[in-house]
Amino acid sequence: MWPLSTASAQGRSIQFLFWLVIALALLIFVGVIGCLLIIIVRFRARPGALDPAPNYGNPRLEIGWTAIPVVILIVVFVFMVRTMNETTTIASNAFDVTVIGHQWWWEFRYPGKIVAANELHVPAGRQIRLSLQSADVVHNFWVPALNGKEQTIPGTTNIWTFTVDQPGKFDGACSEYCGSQHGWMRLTVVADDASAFNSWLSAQQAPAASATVGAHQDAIKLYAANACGGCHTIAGVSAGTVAPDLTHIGSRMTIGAGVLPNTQADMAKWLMDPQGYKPGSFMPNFHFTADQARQMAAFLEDLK
Amino acid sequence: MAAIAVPVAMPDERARLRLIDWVMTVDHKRIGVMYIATAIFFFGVGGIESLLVRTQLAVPQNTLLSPQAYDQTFTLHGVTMIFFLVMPFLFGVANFVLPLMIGARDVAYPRLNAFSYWMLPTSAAFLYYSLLAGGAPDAGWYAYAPLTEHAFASSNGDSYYALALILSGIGTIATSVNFIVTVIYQRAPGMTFNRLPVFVWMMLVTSVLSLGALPALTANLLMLLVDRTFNGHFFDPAGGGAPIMWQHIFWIFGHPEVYILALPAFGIISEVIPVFSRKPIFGYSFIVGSGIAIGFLSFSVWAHHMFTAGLGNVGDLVFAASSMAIAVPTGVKIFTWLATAWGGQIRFHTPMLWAFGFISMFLIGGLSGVTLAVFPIDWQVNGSYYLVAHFHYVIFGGSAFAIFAGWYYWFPKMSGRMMDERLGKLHFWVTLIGFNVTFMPQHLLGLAGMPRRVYTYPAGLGWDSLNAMSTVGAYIMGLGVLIFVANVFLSLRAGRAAGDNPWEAWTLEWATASPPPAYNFAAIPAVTSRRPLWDRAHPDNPDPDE
Repeated sequence: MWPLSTASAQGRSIQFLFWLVIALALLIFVGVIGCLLIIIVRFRARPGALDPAPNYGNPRLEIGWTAIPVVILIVVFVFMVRTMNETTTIASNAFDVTVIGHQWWWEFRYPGKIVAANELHVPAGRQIRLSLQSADVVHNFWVPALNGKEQTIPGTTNIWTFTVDQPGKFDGACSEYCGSQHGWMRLTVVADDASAFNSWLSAQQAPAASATVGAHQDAIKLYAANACGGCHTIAGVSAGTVAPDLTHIGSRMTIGAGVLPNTQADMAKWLMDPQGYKPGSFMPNFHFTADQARQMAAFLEDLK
Repeated sequence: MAAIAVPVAMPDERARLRLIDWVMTVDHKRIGVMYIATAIFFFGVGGIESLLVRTQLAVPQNTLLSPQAYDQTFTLHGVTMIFFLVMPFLFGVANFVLPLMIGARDVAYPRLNAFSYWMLPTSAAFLYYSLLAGGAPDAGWYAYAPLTEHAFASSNGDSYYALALILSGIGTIATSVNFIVTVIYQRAPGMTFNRLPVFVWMMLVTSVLSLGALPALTANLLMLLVDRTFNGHFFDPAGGGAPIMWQHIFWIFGHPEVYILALPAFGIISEVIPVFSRKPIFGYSFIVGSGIAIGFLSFSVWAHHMFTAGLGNVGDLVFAASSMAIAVPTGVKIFTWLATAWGGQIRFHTPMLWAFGFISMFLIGGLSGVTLAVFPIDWQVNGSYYLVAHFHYVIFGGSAFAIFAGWYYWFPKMSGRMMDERLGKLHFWVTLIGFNVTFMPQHLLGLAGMPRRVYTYPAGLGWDSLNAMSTVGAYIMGLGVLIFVANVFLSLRAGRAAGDNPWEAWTLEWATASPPPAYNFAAIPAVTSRRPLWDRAHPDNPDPDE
C-alpha cells in the first residue's frame, strides 16, 4: 500500500521522491530537536547566575544556514523534475478512457460507446490515459496505489495517466469536497490481463440480454412504472443519463459508489431506502414493498 | 540617564469599568483586550465544532451527525478558527503591545481602530446567524466554485459566509493601514527601524500582506454573491465562467493569509526567546530580513494549493520553486531562535515552554510543507488527511502555541497579575500531548488513502484505530482548554501582583505600569538601542546597534 509499495510505474517514481524528501526532513528534524534538547539540558538557568554575554550574530554562520538549505532544495528539485517527467509523459499507445465526475459517482466512457460506473476496468501493462471531466462541481480522481490525483473541473478536460504493472484491484476515492456524499464517492480500478480485458469489453458492449429481460417481466413493469429509465440507462430498455448506467450492474462489486456491497440482499436493501444509506444522494425513495425490491434486485443482479 | 517615570495610576482608573466604557473606547489597550476576549470566546466555539467532527469520525459509519450537519460543522470550524480566533488574537495582542513597544501613546487612528474591532463581532454575527436562517455555509472554508453556485446550494449559508468575510476583511484592511501609519509616524525619538522590536517588524510585514491579500478575497466573494444572488456566471462554465478562477483568486488571498497567521506568531516567539534566554536575539538583520522575504515570497506561491488542478508542468514547476524557496527564510528563523537560546541562561517559565513547543511543532508542520511543495508528492497527499495534519501543525502547533506563549508573556502587563505557573505548565503539557495524539496519526491516515472532509468512512481499510486515536487526542486537547480557562479566571481574581517588569524584559512595554495608564507613558521615552531597558540598567554597557 502506498507509500510502502505501489502497483504502477508512476506510483514508484513518486514513492522514491517521497522517501527521499522524508529522509532529508528527518535529518533536519533530528538536528533541530537535538539542538533543542542540548539547550534544555546544558543551558538551563543556574540559580543566581548573571545574564550571559550577548551574542549579536555571526554572519558566516547565518549565510551558511541560508545557503545550505538552498543547495539541498536544488537537489530535491532535480529529482522532482525527473519524477514529473516519469509521471506525465503520454505513451503513443495509451488506452483512452473518459472519466466524468458526478455528485456522487464516477462515469467511465470507453471507445465503442461503452459506459460504466464506479469500477474502472483497464488492461494491465499498458498506459491508461484518462480524460478527466465533470458534470457538475469540482471532483478529484485518486487511486493511491497507482498515481497521484487530479481534479475534474466542469468546463475543461484534465489529462491523467497510470500504467498498472500486474492485474489486480485498487481502491480509490474522490478527494475534493464535492457536497454531502463526498465521503461515498469511492471507486475501484480493476486491472485485467489483455485477454480478460477484451472479454470484459465485449461483454460491456452488449446490451441487456433479451433472455434476462424476458425472465424479469415484473421488474421491467416496475422499472417503467417508476420511471427509472428517466435517470438510468439499461441498453435496450432505457436511456437516462444522469445516473449510473445499469446495463451490466450485476457484475459490479459495490452499490452507490462503495456504500454497500453488491449482493442481491444488499441491492434490495438499497432499493427500499437509498436515502438511508446515502442521505442527500439524488436517488429518491420509491417506497417499494419488500417483494418489489426483491424482484427488482433479482433483475438487476442478472444484468451481468 | 534618567529612569523612565512610571506614574501611579489615578484612583478613578482603578474603579470598575462600566460596559459603556468598553463599547465607546478608542484606547488601543482596551480594544486589544476586546479582540483577545472575542478570540478566546470563538476558540471555544471552534473547539466544540472540532470535537463534534472528531466524535463523528471516532468510529466508522457513525451516525452522530448527518452529512449535512457535518458539512456545516467542519466549514464553521475552519472559518471560525482562522477568522475569529487566530487573526483577532494576533491583531489584538499587536493592538495592545505595538504602540507601547514603539513608545507611542496610541495607534495613529484610534477611532478607525475601534471601528475595525466592531467589524469583528458584526461579521461573526452574520456568519452564525446563518444557522437560524436556513443553514450555515457548508462548502468548506475555501468554498470552491461551482459547489457554491446556487444550483448546488442547499441554503443561503454561503451567502452569509461571503457577507461575513467581506465585513471582517474591511476590519483587517483598516487595522493594517492603522498599524503601518503608526509604525512609520509614531515611533519614539531614537527608535529607528533598525531598533524596532522584531514583533513590530513582523506586524508591519503582516499589515502590508493584509493590504495585498484581503482585497483579493473581497473581490472573489463579491463575484460569488453576484453569481448566487443575481444569476451571474463568474464561476459557472455554462455561462462562460471559470471555476478555476475562484481557486486562483482565493489562493492569491489564501496563501498570504497563512503568513498573516504565522508572521505575528514568529514575532511573539522572537520576543519571548531572548527574554527567557537572557540574551538578545541572534542575528537581528537576518531575522527581520527573513520576515520581509517571507512577505514578498508569500505572494508568489499561491498555486501550490492547485497542483492537482491541471495547471501543467511549467506552472507546477514555477510554484514548486517558489514554495521551496519560502522554506529558506523560514528555516533561517528556526536556526536564529536556536542560536539565541544557545549559551543562554534558560528560564523555563510557561511562556518559554510554549516557545520551545512552537519550534518543535512548527518544525514538523514546516517540513511536511516542504514535502507538499514537491508537487508529485502533493499529487498523492493533497485532499487527504496528510494535508489536514500539515496545516494543523503549522496553525495550531505554530500560531496557537505562539498565541499561548504571548498570552502567558503579556497577561501580566495587561492585567497586573501573574498567571498561575503550575496550571500554566500543566496546560502546556496536556496540550502538547493531546495535540500530537490528535494530529500525528492524521499524517498516516492521509498516506493510507483517507480523503479529507468526509462525514464517515468504511470500516476495514486500516483507518479505524488511527481515527479513534485522533479523537482521544482531541478530547485531551479539550481538557487542556479547560485547564487554561480555569487558570485565566483564577489568575484574574487572585493572581500574584505582577509589577512593571516581572520577566526582566527589555522592550518599552515593560517600562510602564501593569496595566499601563491610559496615556501609556508619563513622558515619551528616548530610545538608545534595541533594548532600552537593558541600557537603563547597564548605562556603562549599552546594547549596540549591530
